[in-house]
Amino acid sequence: MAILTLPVVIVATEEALSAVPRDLRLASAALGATKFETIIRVVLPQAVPGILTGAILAVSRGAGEVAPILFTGAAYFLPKLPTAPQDQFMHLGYHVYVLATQSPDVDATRPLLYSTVLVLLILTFALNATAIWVRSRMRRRFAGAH
Amino acid sequence: MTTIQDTQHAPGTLTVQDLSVHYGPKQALNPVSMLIPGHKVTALIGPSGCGKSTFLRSLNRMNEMILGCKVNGKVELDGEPIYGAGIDPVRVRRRIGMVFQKSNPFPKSIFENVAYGLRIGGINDKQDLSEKVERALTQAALWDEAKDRLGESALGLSGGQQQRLCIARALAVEPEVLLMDEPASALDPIATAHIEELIHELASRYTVVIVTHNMQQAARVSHHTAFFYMGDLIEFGATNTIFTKPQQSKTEDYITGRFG
Repeated sequence: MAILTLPVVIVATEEALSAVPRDLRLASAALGATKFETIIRVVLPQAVPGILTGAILAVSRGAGEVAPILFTGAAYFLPKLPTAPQDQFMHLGYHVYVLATQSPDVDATRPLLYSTVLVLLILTFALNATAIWVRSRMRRRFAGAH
Repeated sequence: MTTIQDTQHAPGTLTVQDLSVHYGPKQALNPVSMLIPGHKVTALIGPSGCGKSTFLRSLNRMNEMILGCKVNGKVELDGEPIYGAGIDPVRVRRRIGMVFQKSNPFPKSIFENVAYGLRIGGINDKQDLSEKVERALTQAALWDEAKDRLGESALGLSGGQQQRLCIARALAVEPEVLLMDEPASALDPIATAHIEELIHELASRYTVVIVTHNMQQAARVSHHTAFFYMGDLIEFGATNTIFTKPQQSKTEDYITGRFG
């Protein structure tokens, strides 16, 4: 999953880095800054909002992707939480599917089903909201007064 | 080689010998030799694409930031070479500062913009920093307008103020030479007048080399003028002479507005 969402993070990072105006790099160089100093002091601080938003969005997107993990590590049901990276795990999206279709007693599992969906929705919504909040906060920091 | 005898030994003198610049296979500047006198304003004029900005950028090795650019020849600042093995372009740029056509303040506070070069240079003492920032802003004629809002974002300043901030930022690291690439071309007449006045004052402490498209501006602010055309240095001399009795017919054609 981490590898699958990597492209999203890389693209977001690349865009955020290239969105930093060349003028600023030149200005920094003209003041006697080395490449490294320019990257640390000028390019990265400007690009961080973009990179962070990309990363958070990638995580929330990853939460929604079921197909790749069905074949790798998602279990039908586990009574305990996974503890090591190699352990099998349960997946919210897959769990919804299991509860809705595979249960012998549909009425009994309905409350469970709805609460699982709610958890998934809240999680995705919270992650996206964090991304938006981070971005707007950073933007304000660069645009306005301290 | 064009020399100006009386100011030859002033500090901050740049000696340029057979300097030529290629962008890939294309030659942008044919070998140029000239002596830019210290503590004077030298204007570089000429039509677009004549090599004057290229020439300016090669004086503090900013051309190296452009891919495929190759510089040949010698440049010396007070006898010390700018190009050569073992010479760090970063150190060169501390001695020869630069102001760009478009003002480009960092998205930081006014104070931090001016302090940037100082911090890079390893100055972290608060007292020292604020003294140096105040001095730079005063020299750039921005202190009175900015002193009550040092903590505010530099992007809140007007265009002319931003350009003066960029000048202050360049002055803060105490360079010996200040290169300016059309510093007033994006500004209104009043802001331009401010900058021109400033350039005049700066000449008492710094060697100023300014590229300009505006010939009245060159005539107003500079002591010496160099005319570039098609990658060649056509004529270089006292501004008065260039504008009243040019030696070359091309120079005369250009300053009288017959082409360009």
